[in-house]
Amino acid sequence: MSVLVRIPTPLRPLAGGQSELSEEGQSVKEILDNLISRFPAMRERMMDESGELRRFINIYVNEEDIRFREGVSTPLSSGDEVSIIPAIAGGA
Amino acid sequence: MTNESSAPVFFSRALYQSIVDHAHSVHPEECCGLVASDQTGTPVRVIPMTNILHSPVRYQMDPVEQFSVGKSLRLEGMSLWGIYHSHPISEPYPSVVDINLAYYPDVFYLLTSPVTTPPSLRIFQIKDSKVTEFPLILKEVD
Ligand SMILES: [Zn+2]
Repeated sequence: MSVLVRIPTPLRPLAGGQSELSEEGQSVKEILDNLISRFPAMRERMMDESGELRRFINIYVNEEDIRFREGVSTPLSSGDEVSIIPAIAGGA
Repeated sequence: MTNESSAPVFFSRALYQSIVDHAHSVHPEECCGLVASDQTGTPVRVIPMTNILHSPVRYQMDPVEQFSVGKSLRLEGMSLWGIYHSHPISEPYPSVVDINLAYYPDVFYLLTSPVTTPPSLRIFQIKDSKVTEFPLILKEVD
């Protein structure tokens, strides 16, 4: 089953320049694993040393942050859109 | 450090004023927001966002607002041009935290501070932890 994945501008150079691509998977985790196996350079930007999603990477399924669902275990249905959105943050 | 050979960036005084006003309205907390450009790449809109940390020394944009603004810009054919925030009590230069969390190498980072009169606005790009400042030229009219 394939879903649409939206790649944010800063990660596009690591994903062959694509802004959207379709990826196979039943859950967000499967999508991310498949994406990273196609584009290994994305791993470091998305995952920390222990393989967890970085705190400053937000992932949405359709309109909803996966942190308010089941995190990377969030199940997907055909036609879902997965958006990867780096947080915008900083300090003084 | 300032790169003297960087091309100047033109920015309208009205947009500058919107950013300064936003910073003033939430002072002493840090403000944050986005600048969108039209299809010609000209910055045309300032979009104030919520700093969910409500802190004078840190900011993080409300991710729900960030998502919905990103979507509406995409539908309007506009692009993310810049990201702004304020340094309420320090000079408007990217901090170590700003540099470490700069995920958007192709947009401009605008920093404002009310510690000078008039409030200053400086503009940078942050790529691979390297900060490049651009001369900012304010235009009276769009
Ligand atoms: Zn800062």
